[in-house]
Amino acid sequence: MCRKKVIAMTMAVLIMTSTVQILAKGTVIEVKETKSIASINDNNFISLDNSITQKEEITDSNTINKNIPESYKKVCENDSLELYLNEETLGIKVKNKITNYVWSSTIDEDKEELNDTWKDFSKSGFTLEYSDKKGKIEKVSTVSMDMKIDIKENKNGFEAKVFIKKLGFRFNLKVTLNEKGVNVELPNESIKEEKEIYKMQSIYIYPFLGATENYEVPGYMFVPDGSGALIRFDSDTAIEKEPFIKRIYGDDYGIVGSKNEKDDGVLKSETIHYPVFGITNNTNKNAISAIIDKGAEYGEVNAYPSGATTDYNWITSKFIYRENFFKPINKKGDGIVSNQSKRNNFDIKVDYNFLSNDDANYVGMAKDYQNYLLKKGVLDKSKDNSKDSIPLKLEFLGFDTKEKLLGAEVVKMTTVEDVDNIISDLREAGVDDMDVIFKGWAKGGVTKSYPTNYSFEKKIGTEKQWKQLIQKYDRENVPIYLYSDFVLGNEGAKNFSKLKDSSLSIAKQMLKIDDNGQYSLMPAGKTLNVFEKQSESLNDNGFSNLAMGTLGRLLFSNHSEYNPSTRDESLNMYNDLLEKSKDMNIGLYNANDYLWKYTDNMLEIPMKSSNYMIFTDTVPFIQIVLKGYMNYYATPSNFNSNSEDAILKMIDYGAYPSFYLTKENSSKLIETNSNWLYTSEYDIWKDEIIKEYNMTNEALKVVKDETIVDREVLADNIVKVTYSNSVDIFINYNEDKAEIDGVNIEGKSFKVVEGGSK
Amino acid sequence: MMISPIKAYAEAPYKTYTLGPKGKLVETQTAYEPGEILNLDLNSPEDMYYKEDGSMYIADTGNSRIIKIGKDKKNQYIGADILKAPTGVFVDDNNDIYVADRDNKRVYIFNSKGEFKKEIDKPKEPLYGKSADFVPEKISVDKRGNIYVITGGGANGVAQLNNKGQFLGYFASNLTETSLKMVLQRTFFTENQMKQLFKNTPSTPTNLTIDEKGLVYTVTKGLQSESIKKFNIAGENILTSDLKESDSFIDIAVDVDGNMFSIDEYGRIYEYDSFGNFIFGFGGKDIENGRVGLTKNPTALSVTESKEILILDKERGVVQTYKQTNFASEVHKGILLYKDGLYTESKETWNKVLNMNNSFILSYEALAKAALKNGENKEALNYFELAEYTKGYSDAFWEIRNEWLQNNLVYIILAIIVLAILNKLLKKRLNRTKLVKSLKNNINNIKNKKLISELIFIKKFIKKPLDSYYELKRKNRVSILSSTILYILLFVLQITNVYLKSFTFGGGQEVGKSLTGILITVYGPLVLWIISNYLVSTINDGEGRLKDIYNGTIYAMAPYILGALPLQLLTKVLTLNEKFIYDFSMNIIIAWSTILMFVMIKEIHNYSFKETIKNILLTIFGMVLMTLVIALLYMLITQEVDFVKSIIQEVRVRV
Repeated sequence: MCRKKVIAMTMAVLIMTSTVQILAKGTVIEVKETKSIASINDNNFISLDNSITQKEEITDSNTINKNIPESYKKVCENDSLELYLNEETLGIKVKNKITNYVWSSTIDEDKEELNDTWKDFSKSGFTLEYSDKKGKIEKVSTVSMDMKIDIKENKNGFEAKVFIKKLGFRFNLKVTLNEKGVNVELPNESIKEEKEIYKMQSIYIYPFLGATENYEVPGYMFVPDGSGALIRFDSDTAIEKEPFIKRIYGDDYGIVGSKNEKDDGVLKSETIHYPVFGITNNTNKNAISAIIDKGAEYGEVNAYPSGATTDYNWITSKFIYRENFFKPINKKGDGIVSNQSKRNNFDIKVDYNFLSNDDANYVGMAKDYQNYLLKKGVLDKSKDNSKDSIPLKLEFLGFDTKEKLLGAEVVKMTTVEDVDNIISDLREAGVDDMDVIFKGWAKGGVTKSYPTNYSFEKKIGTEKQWKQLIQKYDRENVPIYLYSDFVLGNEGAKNFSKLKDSSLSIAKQMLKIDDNGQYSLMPAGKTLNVFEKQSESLNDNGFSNLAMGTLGRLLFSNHSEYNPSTRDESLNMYNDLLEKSKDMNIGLYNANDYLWKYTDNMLEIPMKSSNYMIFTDTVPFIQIVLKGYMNYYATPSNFNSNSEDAILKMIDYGAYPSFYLTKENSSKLIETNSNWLYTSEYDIWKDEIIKEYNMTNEALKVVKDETIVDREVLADNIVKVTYSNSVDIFINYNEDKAEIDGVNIEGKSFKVVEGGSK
Repeated sequence: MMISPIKAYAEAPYKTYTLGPKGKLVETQTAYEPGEILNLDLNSPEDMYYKEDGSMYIADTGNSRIIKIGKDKKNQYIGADILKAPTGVFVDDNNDIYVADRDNKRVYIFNSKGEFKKEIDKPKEPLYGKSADFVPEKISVDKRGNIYVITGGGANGVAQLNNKGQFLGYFASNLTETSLKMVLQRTFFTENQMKQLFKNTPSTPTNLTIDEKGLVYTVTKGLQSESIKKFNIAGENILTSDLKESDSFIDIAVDVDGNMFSIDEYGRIYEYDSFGNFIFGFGGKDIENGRVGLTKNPTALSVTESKEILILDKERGVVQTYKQTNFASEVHKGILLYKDGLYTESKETWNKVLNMNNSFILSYEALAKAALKNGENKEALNYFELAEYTKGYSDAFWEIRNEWLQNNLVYIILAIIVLAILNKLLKKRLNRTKLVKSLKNNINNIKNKKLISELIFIKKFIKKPLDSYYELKRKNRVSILSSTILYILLFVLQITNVYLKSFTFGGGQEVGKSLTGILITVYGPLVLWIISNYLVSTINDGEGRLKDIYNGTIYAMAPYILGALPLQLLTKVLTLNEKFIYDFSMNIIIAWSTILMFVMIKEIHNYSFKETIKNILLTIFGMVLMTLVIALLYMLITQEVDFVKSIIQEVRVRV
């Protein structure tokens, strides 16, 4: 009896103390600081609609022709431009001989409103951020610290050897004038960090080139967010003045970590897929188009509208040598901030081209970039003109797997015969040209297969059946792409090694993303490896059309022992990969510009911007660049809630329609990872497919393989797009019909005018 | 309400969800697109009232005034020299403006021109409570002129005042929530600790609204369930408790069709139909810098007749609008028809919706009712199953069964009669034949095999429980092997329970359950019971061996093992109307098993009646203790592991 009591007592004590301990742990409430907002003294309604392009107000304000101060001396000139340099600040001015406009990279006057840091920033040719021994990040500008600058002028510009004695930094800055503009370079080999304790973090070069104060000069900044966006110099639209700061090609997950995003129902904002930005000073008179030729993978686009920290509108690219990153040390999320120890090794080269008059707008910038890509051989016009109708993209889901009480079950959605039937059914209905993508053909299903063990799931179709199908339609010029993802690794898949095949961040955290199921990101080296294996066997067996997910739109470094790579090494490996697949037909989704050379088909293209409040317009910049050189498709139409508007936007943007289809009803997928697919049954969508195809085809077949020459907003929600074969397409997004330039357009409709209007 | 340029295709920066099968949320097409933003020079506004005539009233709290934005978009300031911190605003049918002022601790009433009319102070009635503070935060007025005020820190609910400002009583109290943790805390804490740690008072509603019919709706932040309430005239909540809801709702609005809209702290907007069915959920918090369509700190929500949603953002000081898409308007059309009972008429609309989203569960329910109405019972049955609507399924099944019975009753009766006669005639003759004799012999042989006889012994527990336990204990009539087989059988019965039961009785709905889950729920308590009982009875001079308890326990469940399968099969032909048959039988089985369990303890350990009761209670106490210890150990070990992990991580990082 006694022993029993003792046991009971000790039990009770044990339980009590531990419960108290657990319960008494107070939760710490985090108090978040709320930012005060700048309220605008205006009692009128302001409606903000930045998802469309606004009408260009024609302003006859005289361009302020700035004089060139004494402190600047002429370095060189050519037929169209003159270059001036201030040797102390390294500031430059460029005179456009066509419009007589003087572009300036610095603010020369002393402005009261600016604090010292910003004053130095605006007066200097460059501003460098460095970290001191405590890890604190400081700014140094040409005027803020004593530095030795040796300038060597040459026929086309100058080279400045910069030595910042106190910090021990050396580097060369090269500015070269050509017929179109200036090229600014900072070669990696010229950089020296001589003092251990100071480290270069990042650099802004000529950040104020083209900057304007408040709203004195009408114009806008162009930012490459998604399809493209404008920030007009306009006080009215401002509700929240936050600068636009975004990493080109997205954040490097290898540095910032993949953040194990929780799905809070908010969609991710758009990514920068191409390293171009611009600014106009008086739209349709003077503009700069800036193309980052080298160093884009370590670049950021920063756009500050007036009101965000200063009164100036300025846009620039910031280049990052080192980044701070967060090292978590426990599950709760505590950790320390560390600095990257090794400097990112890359050359910087930015081409600033000065556009005049009719070219001085975002369309001109797009064309400028297009020319650049043509010269580099990225784009080429080798399209066959054999068909006179536009293609339609069909994406099929083969199968996914469902967990059962015991084992997994194949949830069959579309088989090889179904594809055959659907294609021929649509061809009978008049849809001639198609690009067909098939997802979920390999064992494991669409979300659980792993590309190393490529084997066809027989319940969907055997290798032989697939071969026959592909050959059959190849003859009819309907390519059927097999879809693979060489970047997302499925941990549950056969042969996948969690240790060797997943990337680590610099803080040694596994890189994972949620893309309808949890995936590890595979190191670029591994991707290359896997691709070689699979593409060989696919190519040998006659499967030469390949659609690749993720690879085109994600760029990250890997810091694990296996296949480590920096961001630019990853970039090069992806390039090598696609170089190897040159004889294959490659389709990519939302591909970044460094892969456009190898992209035969852009299977999805950004059709919107992130609609930040500082944006005033969304523009089809990427579309104007690519139209005529590459087929590109809109996001699948099944998921649109207003199909009418979506179709008009496709016509406006020159994008071809696409659909995500299955033979079976999508409700069968409810217990699989693909349960996000809520409507895809072919029988439901057939009529809509034909309708949408006929509409877009009617508009866009006339301008197939033509380029966009101009795009103009004629009135609110009425757009005119002009093509290289002088065809005008008018799009009326309004409910009411409109008559403009002698052309009648029905409400929510479009009109194709051949031979040019007016 | 807003006269605005027709928008061209603004894509929403958020996903939209609707209710799919198995109570899961599924993605769907965008239901509401972000429209324009109204910038009105507001400073930390806290409330908004939208009037059907198109005007809008905003409590511009930081600027100490009410702004009326007329239909003509002209602004008017109200109460600028009187108000201090207006946090709630309401406008009645006479266009009188009611304002709750948090800092002045008063309710103000202005007439339709914005002139001061009346103020209401803290009620003097003793019922209100002398110590209770009067801090009006939100306000609403019903058709009779009664004023509902939510006061800060008021634990008793919503203060209801008549139009003269006299206190009528409290309305809509929430119940206190008691969790297991709280019970534990109460048991083990000292009084001081208790005071420090929690005040378990019911939470006051966060916001309220009154619809055209005078029904009161409240939302309460911090409640896990029933955070949205819709009260009938008698003050009872008429919504079911299993809504899909957020625990941080801050405002609610009701549109002309009775659909409810609510927004939570995180900027997520929820729409329900008038019955509380979840229709859409969308929106979210703006973590990045200023994306149109997301909100920073939403404080109020209103809906216009055209189902335009207005969200007041305190931090930005703006009103963000959302417009319904073609898809959402189709859904709303269907809901309206459905609500009015026009099932057949709603069929076309719902089919369209279903084509847009194959998982739209509400459409299956509507289509099922339409089918039932048109006598297409089989189709209705199908749709009801997809809609997971057991009541409807049962109704449809009743129709089908009824039809079948009507058609076949004669044949069934005939068949029974024929069988009965045949049985009588043939039985005697058959018994004489050799074949039957040898068959019987064989059966007897099998019965005599040890294992089989042990298994069949279960029958005796039904008839003579006392004897059987004696035999079990003394004569080794059962073995570990036979018991183990029965234990496995118990598990199999749980699986058949999922697959065999008809949909009406909750069958087929747990298919997604994992095997290990079933294993733990079936065997966990049994293992604890056996161990605990053995330990307890060893100390308490019980005679039973571990083996006896192991065998006895499963044989005590004889009624369940024998009865479960027939009952599961029986559900196939029952509707909800005859549910009592199933329930009653099940209860008998459980009661019987419990009695057997009692007898088992008594016989096996050779206890008196009193001793048995004591033993059982101790056993249960032991089970609870063991569970607690296991849980604690689990927590301690995981914390330990985390601790070691973080040390290793930290060392790695720092070195």
